[in-house]
Amino acid sequence: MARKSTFAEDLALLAADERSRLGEPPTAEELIACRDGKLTEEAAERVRDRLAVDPELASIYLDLTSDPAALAADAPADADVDDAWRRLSPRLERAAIVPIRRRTAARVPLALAASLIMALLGWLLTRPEPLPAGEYYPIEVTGAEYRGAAVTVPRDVAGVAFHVDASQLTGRIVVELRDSSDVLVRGETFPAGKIVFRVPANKIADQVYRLTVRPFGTPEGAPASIEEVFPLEFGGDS
Amino acid sequence: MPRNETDAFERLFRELYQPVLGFFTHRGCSREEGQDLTQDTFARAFRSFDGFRSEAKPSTWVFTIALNVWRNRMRETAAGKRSGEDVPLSEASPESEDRPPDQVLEHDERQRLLRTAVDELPPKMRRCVWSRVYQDRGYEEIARLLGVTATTAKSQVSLATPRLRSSLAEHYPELAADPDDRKG
Repeated sequence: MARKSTFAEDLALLAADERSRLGEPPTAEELIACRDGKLTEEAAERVRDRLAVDPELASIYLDLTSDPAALAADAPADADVDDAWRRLSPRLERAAIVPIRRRTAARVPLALAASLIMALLGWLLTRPEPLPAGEYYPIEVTGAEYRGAAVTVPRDVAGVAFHVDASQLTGRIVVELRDSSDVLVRGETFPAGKIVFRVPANKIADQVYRLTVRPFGTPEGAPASIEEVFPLEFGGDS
Repeated sequence: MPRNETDAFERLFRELYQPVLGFFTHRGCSREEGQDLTQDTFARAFRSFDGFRSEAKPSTWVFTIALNVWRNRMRETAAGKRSGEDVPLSEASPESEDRPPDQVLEHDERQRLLRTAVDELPPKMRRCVWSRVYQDRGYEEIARLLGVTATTAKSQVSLATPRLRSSLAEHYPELAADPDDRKG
């Protein structure tokens, strides 16, 4: 005969239900903002609801609220910083070198024309619904459509044009397309409030990416009032 | 990247290498895996270092990247597990299928009562109870997690205990003992 479950076991089942009900855990940026008291009370409550039923996330949050020196105590005692820097340096040197392709006289106008045609075609074929309007930067994505939570961009659209209403901006802004952590493309200037990203097809998978817009010089994960994040999904049918 | 920025990045690396490695070690990474993830964190940080300015603390910025690196690794691990070997049916059967129907019904009813009892607690009290009873956290940790004082956390759990006991002790005999007393 099977034994009865205990209170602790049933509570664990209920916690798992609760995690499912709460949906996706907060992002790294939300956790940091919660730690720093930069979330609205409502948003902070959502994060705390999650922390209460998610031991792994709670452990991470507690680490983030620790003094870095205390975390260092968890590192292997003989970890060698000099050796680690020597091993990292070649990667940094490779990352710092940006290969520049020689362009023939014909390539430049051809590439320009292709970009313009793609952007124009995208605009004419699928005039997008406005994205969730941010407090500062209304933004539209050409060649895409808004489906539910994310903007869906057809996979075969090589150039994605972002139209930014720069009327309220006083300085340079940074637009980045990221997967969960890597920057895939970044733009920092907006002639006529518009930038065209050319997204490498081999970088794109069926997942939601994050398009962030923020003033130049502001680090990723800035408070929501100065950083706007839009979900963007590649892989829709054109 | 200009030389002075590379030097600044090296200083940042030397200051935060051990804490970031400690962060991954604390997550249960082996020494090698922790070192790899730490290297990935700083390689990614380097790529966006020119966009980083001093509006945020450098450690905040680096730990945001470290957390994203960790979540990527978790996703990869989960995807690897999903595409792994098939689980034999005998192992995949949920425990409830081995139980007689009356016990399954009883368990479902107890689960429903438990949910009702927990849901009826005010939000702050509920979060304190989850953290204390389910996660087995100390009050200082609960205070940091939930943005309350340790005294508040303790009083919230104390207030919740008789409420849960009155509605659930009949179904969970172990609740007859004070859960807080058991944890000390």
